[in-house]
Amino acid sequence: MIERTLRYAVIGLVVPSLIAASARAEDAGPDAPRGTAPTASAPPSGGDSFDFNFMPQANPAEEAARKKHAEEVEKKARTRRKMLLAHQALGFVTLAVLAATCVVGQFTYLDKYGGGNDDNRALYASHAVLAIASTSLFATTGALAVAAPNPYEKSRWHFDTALVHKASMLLATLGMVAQIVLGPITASREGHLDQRDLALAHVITGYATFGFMAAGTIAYVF
Amino acid sequence: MRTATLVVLLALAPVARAQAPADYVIDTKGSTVTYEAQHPAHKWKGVSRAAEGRARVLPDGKVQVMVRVPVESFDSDNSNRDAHMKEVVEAARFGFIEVKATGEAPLPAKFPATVEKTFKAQVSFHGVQQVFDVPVKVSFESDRRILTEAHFAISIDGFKLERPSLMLVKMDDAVKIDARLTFNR
Repeated sequence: MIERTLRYAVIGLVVPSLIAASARAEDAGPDAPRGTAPTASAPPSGGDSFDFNFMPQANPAEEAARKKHAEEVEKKARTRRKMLLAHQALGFVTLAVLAATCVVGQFTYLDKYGGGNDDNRALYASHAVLAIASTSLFATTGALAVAAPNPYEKSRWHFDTALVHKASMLLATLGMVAQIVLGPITASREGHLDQRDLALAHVITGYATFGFMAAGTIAYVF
Repeated sequence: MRTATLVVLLALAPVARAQAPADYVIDTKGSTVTYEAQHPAHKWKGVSRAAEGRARVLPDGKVQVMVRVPVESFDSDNSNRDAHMKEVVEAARFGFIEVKATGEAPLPAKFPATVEKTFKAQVSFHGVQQVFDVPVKVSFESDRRILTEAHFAISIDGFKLERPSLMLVKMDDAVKIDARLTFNR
């Protein structure tokens, strides 16, 4: 009788504890890394060594595919880095040349409409050279960024400083295009009454273009 | 005789259960790993919410932890900078930052409880392994949920990484790591 009672008692205690252990294992949840039950390499009586591994190991086929992919990514990444370094360096040069273009353009405007004698041909020539240089540099700098390969998975769209940089540069590009049109038209209206208004629009657009480019640079650097 | 065996087994059952290691799994959604880096022109942080791993509390109170974070999962709020970071750390070749840590933090008798311990952590990053002493704040919410906080700094040069530069100035060598990991049983 005593023996039977003890047997039932053992069954009554062991079975629920087995069920509870099983439930705990299932509670690991969906976040548990697949097949990551702690391995036997973890010594049960000591925890000082790093000789344990709770993570799944890649099989040889996966490892070979990963290596091949890594080589392709690294090749593109090297090209990308060279192009973006050139983009960065040319960007600062472009910003400086654009600033000079605006300053010389302002002097040119003042010489013609701000009480000057309208006789400083050197200013006109300098402004034209600087405008051509800044436009060429701007186009080259932008082309380098657009053409640079990106071997990494595109992150989901979100508002960040890179987006501010790109948006500012897009506006600066529109400003540059407007200047390419406005500049020659303004110059061709010599002797007409609307030249002053066109020149003013050209000056304002120049400052706006510089502003957008400076904002894009600041957003990226800081 | 059989009765005696059963009695012994019955008496030992709770002891056997108490000596079993307790395994915990990282709650990925409730865990973050953040790096904070600095350049003379600016400072930035990258956050990963993709840490995975496990912790095992051994019967003698020693703890083994293994955590890994995909390098690609760090988001610094600048996709260009994140892409550059992947280039620098060769993310395609060395896809994970892996940390194995050991220390002592036995489960307390009462919950909740908080202890501060120093763990020895082996960090594997960019194919280089380094061991650090890492202070860890361990908060036992219950025997099924543990929150941990660890802060330490690593050297970029120490992991054989080429420090990126901006305007010909390299970024600082020290990078602060802030790990807030939640483990569930």
